[in-house]
Amino acid sequence: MNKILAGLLLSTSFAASADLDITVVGGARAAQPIAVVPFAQATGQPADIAAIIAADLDRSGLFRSLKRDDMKGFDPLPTEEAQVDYRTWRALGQEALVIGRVQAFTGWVAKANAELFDVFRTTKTLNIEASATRASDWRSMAHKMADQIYEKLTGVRGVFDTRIAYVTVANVGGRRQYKLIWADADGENPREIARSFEPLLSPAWSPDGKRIAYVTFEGGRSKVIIQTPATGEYVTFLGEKGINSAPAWTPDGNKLVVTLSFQKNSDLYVIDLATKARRRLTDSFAIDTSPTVSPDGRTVAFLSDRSGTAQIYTVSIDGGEARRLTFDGRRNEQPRFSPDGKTLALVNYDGSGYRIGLVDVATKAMRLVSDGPLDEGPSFAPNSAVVIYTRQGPSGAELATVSTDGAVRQQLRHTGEVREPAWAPYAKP
Amino acid sequence: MAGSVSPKKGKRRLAAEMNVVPYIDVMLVLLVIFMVTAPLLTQGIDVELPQASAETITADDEPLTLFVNARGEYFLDAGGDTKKPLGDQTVIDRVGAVLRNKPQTLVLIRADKAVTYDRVANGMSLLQAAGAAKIGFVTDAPSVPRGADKPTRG
Amino acid sequence: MLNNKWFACATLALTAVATGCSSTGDKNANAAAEPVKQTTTSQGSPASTAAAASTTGTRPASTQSVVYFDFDSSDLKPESKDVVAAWARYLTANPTAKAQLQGNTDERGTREYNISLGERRSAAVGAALQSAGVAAGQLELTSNGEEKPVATGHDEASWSQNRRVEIVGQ
Repeated sequence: MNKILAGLLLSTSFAASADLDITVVGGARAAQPIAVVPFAQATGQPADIAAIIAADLDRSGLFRSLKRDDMKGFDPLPTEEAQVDYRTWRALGQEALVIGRVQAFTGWVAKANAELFDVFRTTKTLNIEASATRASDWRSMAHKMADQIYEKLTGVRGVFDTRIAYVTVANVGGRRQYKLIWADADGENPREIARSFEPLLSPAWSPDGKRIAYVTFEGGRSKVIIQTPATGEYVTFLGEKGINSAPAWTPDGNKLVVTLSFQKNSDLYVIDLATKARRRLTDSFAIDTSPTVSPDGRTVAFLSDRSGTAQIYTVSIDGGEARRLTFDGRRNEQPRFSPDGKTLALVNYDGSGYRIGLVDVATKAMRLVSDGPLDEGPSFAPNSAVVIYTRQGPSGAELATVSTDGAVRQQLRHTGEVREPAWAPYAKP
Repeated sequence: MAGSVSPKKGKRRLAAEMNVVPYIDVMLVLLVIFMVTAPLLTQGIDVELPQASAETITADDEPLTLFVNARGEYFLDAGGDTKKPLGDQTVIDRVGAVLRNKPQTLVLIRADKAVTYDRVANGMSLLQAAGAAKIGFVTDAPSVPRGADKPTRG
Repeated sequence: MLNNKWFACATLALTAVATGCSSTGDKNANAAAEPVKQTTTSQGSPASTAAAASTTGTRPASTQSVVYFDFDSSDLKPESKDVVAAWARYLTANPTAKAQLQGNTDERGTREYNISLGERRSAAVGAALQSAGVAAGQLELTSNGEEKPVATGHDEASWSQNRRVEIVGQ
C-alpha cells in the first residue's frame, strides 16, 4: 500500500544528481598520475566524457587525474594522436595520457573514440571505443571507456559501468521511511525500486542483473519480492508463515535459496522460480540463514548456530551433510561468494567488534579488511576485487568499500542512513 | 733498555734545518682541494643551488627551461610549441602547472647574452609568480633553439 | 600447553561474562532514568496486575508485555516469569483472545541472522505460554529482527532494551 514502485516520474529525468557522496578515504598504494584531456566535443552535449572518466579513475584510489586548471596554459590541447607532445606531459609529471573525441548524431546517438598513451615509453598503448544510443547512455559510455583504461593499466576489469542497489532510511513525518534505490556505481542516476514504512532488506541481484530479489515487511510480516527494476514489474514470490528472508540466486538464475521458518525454525530451502517447487536444504534445530551459492552452482555456504554460536557451513546444493568452514573468531555471519568463486566475504566477530573478513576458499585462511565495530552486509563488486559493506558512521549507517587487498577504501555517504548494499553483476552484452 | 741513554755520548747536535715534511703535507692537501674544486667553478654563477642535499638528478627530473631570445621573447620547452613566443600569463600557467604536479622540477632561465636585463628580470618574476622558489641561471646559453624540433632529448 | 591455553580462554571468557553482567547492572543503574523506570515497573508490578487479570480476565497492560533477553540468547530470564504468567492467565481465561509475539534483537550481528534470532525469541515466549496452557492457535510469532529498536544508542544500555519480545493482544 505504501509502496510506490519506480515509475516514469524518476526515469524521465536523466539529468542525474549524485545520491551518494563517494570519497576515497585511504590508499596504501601511490596513485598513478594520469591526464585525461577534454575530448573534442561540442558544448551543450549530455555529458563531459573526459570529466566522467577522470572522476571514475580518481574514485578508484589508484589514479590521480591532472586538474583541468593545470591544462589551461597548454591550449590548444591534443585531441588527435599527431598532436601529442610527450615532453609536455612528462614535464607535468603524468605517466599516462588519454585523448579522445565524440561524434554526436541526431537523437544523441554517439560514438566516442579515445587513445591511451604511455608518457615515458612515448607509445600509444590502447585504442578505446564506446557508443551511446540516447542521451541517458552518455554517462555509461564514459564509464565504459574508463573501464577499458582501468583494465589496461591495472590488469583488473573495471567496475565503473555497473550499478549498486542499497536501502536508504529517512524520517518522513515522524516515521522511518525505507527506500530501495539502485544507482550507478558512482552514485549518480539514482532510481527507486521500492518504498515502504516497513523495513526493506537483503537485496540480491539475479545473475543477469535484470531482476532483484529483496525482503519487505509490508503488512508487518516478511515477504520475498522479485522485481525487474527497469520496468517496475514485481511479484510477491514468497509470503510463508513465519519468516521469509535472505534470498540468494543460483548462478543459472532459475532458483532462489531462501530462509523460511514455517516448519518451526529457520532453515534453508531451494525454490524453483518457474514452478515454485520447494526443496528443503537444511533441517536443524538451529538457525540456518544467509545462504550464498558458489559461482559453479554446486555449493551453498550459509550461517548456522548449530554449534552454539553463528559460524559458516557449506553444503552441496543437492543437500547432504553440512561441513563447518569457519573457526576463526567467536562468530561468523553473512557469507558471500566472490563472483570468481575464490573468496568468501563474511562478517566476523572477535569479541570486540564486527568486521568484514575475507576467507580464501582454497586455504580457509581469513583476513579482516574493515575496522568495525558494527560492519555488516558485504557484497562483492563483479570484478571480485572490491567489497562494499555497511558500517556505522557518525550519523548512522553508511556504506564503505574496501579493495580485497585492503589497499583502497572509499566512503559512500547519503543524506540519511544508507545500508544493505548489493553490487549488481556485469550486465550481459 | 729503551730508556737507558748513555750519558757518555754527551750532548746531541742540534738540527739546523727546518722540518719541511708537515709543510709539504699541507701543500699537497691544498693541491688536491684545488684540483677537485676547479672544474666546478668554470660554469656560470649559481644564484641558488637547487637543494643542498645530495640528490642525484635522474632522467625523470628534466629541468624546465625558460628561454629568452635576443628580442626579449619567452619560450618554454614544454607545451609542444617551443618555437612560439609565449605571453606572460601562459608562462605563469604552464610553469605553475608543472610545479604543482612535479614540485621537484628544476626551473632554469637561458637568456640570450644580448637580451636586456629588464626582460630577464621580468622572466624571473613570472617564474616566481608561478611558484618557482629556486631558479637556476644558465649563462653559457646559446640563443633560442631556432629550428630545433625538440628542445631536449626525445 | 594446549590445555592451559583453553583454560586461560575459558577463564577470560568467564571474566568477560562476569564483568559484562556487572557492567550491565551498573549501566542500568546509572543510565538515563526513564528506560530504567520502565523496566522496574514492568518487573515490579505484574503481581498485582496479574492478580487483577486473573479475576477480571483483562488484557495485561503494555508495560507488562515485554520480555527481555541476554545477548544472542533466547532463554527466558527468571524475571520474565511474571509477564508470561500474566499473559498465560489472560489467554487461558479468554480462549478467543489472540496475541502476537514480536521478537526483536539489538543492532549487533547481521540483519539476516537477527531476523531469525528475533523469531527464536518469540518462539521461546510462545513455548512458555503454551506450557502454561495457552492454545497454539492463540499465538502468532513474528520477528522484526533489529529493525525496530526502542532505544537507538550504541551501548549496552540501549541494546538491553532492544533485545525483547513484545506481546501484543489482538
